[in-house]
Amino acid sequence: MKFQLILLIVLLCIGDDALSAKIEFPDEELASESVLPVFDDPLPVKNRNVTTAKKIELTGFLGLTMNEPFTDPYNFGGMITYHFNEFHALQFYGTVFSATENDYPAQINEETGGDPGGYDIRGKVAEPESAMMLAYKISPYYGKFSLTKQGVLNIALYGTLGIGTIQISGEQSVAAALGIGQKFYFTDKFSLVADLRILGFTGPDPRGKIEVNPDPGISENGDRFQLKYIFTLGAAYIF
Amino acid sequence: MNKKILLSLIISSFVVSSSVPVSVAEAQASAKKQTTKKRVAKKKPVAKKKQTPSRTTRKPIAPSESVMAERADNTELQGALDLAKSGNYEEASIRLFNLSRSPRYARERMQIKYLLGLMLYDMKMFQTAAFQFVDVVRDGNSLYIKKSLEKLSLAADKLGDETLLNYALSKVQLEDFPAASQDLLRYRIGEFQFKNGEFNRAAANFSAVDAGSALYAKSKYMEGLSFAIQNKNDFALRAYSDLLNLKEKADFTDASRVSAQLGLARTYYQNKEWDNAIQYYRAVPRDTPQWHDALFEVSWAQMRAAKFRSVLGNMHSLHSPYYEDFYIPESLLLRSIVYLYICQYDEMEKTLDLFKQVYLPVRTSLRDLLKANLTPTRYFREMDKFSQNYQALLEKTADRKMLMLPFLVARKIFKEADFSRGYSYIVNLRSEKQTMQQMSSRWKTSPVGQYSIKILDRRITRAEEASGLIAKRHAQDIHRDLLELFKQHDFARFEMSNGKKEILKKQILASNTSSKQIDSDNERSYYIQNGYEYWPFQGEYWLDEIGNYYYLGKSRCE
Repeated sequence: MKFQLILLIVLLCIGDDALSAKIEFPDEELASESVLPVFDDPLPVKNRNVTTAKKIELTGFLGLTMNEPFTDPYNFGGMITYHFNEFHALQFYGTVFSATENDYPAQINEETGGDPGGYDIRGKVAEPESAMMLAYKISPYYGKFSLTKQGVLNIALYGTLGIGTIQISGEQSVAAALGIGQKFYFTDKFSLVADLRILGFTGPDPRGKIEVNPDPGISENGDRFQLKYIFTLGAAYIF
Repeated sequence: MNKKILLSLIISSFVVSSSVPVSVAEAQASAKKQTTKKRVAKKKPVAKKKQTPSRTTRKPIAPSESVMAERADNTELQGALDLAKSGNYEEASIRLFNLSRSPRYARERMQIKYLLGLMLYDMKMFQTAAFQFVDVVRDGNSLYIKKSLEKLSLAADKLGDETLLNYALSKVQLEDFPAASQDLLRYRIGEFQFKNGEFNRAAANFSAVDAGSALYAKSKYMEGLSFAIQNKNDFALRAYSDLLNLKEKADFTDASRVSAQLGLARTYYQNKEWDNAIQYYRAVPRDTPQWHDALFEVSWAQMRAAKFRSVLGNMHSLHSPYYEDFYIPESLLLRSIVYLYICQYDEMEKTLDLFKQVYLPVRTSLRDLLKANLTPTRYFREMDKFSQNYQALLEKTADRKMLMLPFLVARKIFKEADFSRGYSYIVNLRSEKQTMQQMSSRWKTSPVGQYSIKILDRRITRAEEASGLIAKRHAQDIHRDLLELFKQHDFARFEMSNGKKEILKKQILASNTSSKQIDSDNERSYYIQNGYEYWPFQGEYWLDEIGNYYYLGKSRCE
């Protein structure tokens, strides 16, 4: 086994040496200025590898609601985006939340449920179910980077501003969302997407409508303004 | 000094000079009214007139009817001058123009014209003002010739009107000019001589411009150029070096500094000192308009110095989409020749195909256009359309079909110095016309207004014809150049076919031996020394990478 590994390494080295050539450039020919040439039409990039204008992009994602208190933070969903040009686009965003109650209501009950003033919100917490948004998307930055110096990945940074609804325990509330995301293009069509969206809405209290044990026993919680931080990772295909 | 104050002073001096009695008889007559006159002396001057021997010998007589009439006329002149002094140039110009045409003021005509010219000059109507000065100079019989010439030169300079400037220069004596304007005149004379091919005399005039003058840097550059054209490279190098030394502490992108670097590079190239030429070409800063020329020209120097890899690196920039609107057919042929030198026939073929793809339609379009034998005015209209819609045409390539001239040819012509000078003159004339149109309707309908608009329209038409003719000549030159370049293209293709044939022959002869060539494997890895950023080229062109491409291929010649 050891011998095979050494042989493999030696072969790899020989192969590379045989194919590579040492090319040296005189120092004076290497770039020494960080300023840009002057053109009448100074676009930062021409002949882009990734073009989005007049194209549709489909994205599927999995994510976490980073500040979900009483239910599992997982969510999944998708986006359909129509790009008017390289900068502006309209996006439909839909996500389904995991509505499973997490361990915290039980833990809280264990620690405080028996005491006066303690909470028992088990089975009563508000459960986020889904959200839908129509968003304006702007992609102001298109660039590239190289991880290995062997190849280049194109990247695009975008921002979104949307409005839609969120459904919590069967109740719909109007929500607005502000987001930022980054795309990593592995080909001119396929990319990985990291997206962070902040949803703001006034909706059912996460503790649920009815609390048990707040002294003197039962109280009703009204709707309240909340923010949800939704971070997702997805894959996108543009065509 | 404030221009208006200066003009007031000139008018005052004119008023004082015109207050001198016209004759002894008149002096005596005026002496009778001395008391009254003293009170109004400054307000009621009489136009100065030459004393004639006959008048001086005349017996004192009472003022005749004609003298009385003249006095009445002088009131008109005085009124116009007062208006001018108070800054009401619009009204003053109307009156002065009328007076300048009145037979009663035949003797003062040139003075009035000079004043009218000054007023129009101050109203930014340089062309109309220049015509007044020309009249004074042509008349040749007044004290205002020198002053008019000076003003004429300045007005022509502001307008960029070469015809007027040349006229002024043909009449002027350097010593007649005020010291402050002598450098301008020397520079302009130098330019005039340069255009007429009198390079030695031009160099002498350029070198005479004072080091403290604002035109010194331009003059030094032109001095160098005058020497370089005559192949007096040592003198040219000295002039350019002086300029570069002068601008040593100037901003990197200072136009004169960059011009000096480019001048040195070109002269060293002319001297066949390739390495020095390359050094100066590379010193031209990237963020200057001259850099594009330097990038192309350094490639020739590198080619002559057998630095083929460097040439191909530059060519990758020059043939990027950033340069798709530049007219640079020669660069494609240069690239193909380098490929020929290193036996990269496939790349050479691609380059020649690109040349044909881009420039054959240009040649065809130019041929058709020239066959149509359009008038110069049509050429000018085309160029004007190009200029007016430049930004839109840059962004929407489909709109370029509205032009009869191919876009890149129109762009090249537009950047030619002679056309751009002519066009800028027309732009100035149009702006002057706009100034006139903003004047009151009284001024526009007055004789001076109608006269000004008429001469301006005529000048615009003439200038458009002249610029159109220049554009047409450039189009003819470009067409001729393209024909020549296509011959070279055909020759390069022939050489390429020969090269390919030779390679095939060798392959057939050595069919049993397998020698793997480095370039035959496109999948090979590249390594880059730590500390350097390196991006393999993957089809897209970035503005910050233009000029920083390095060719990694090898010669395939055996």
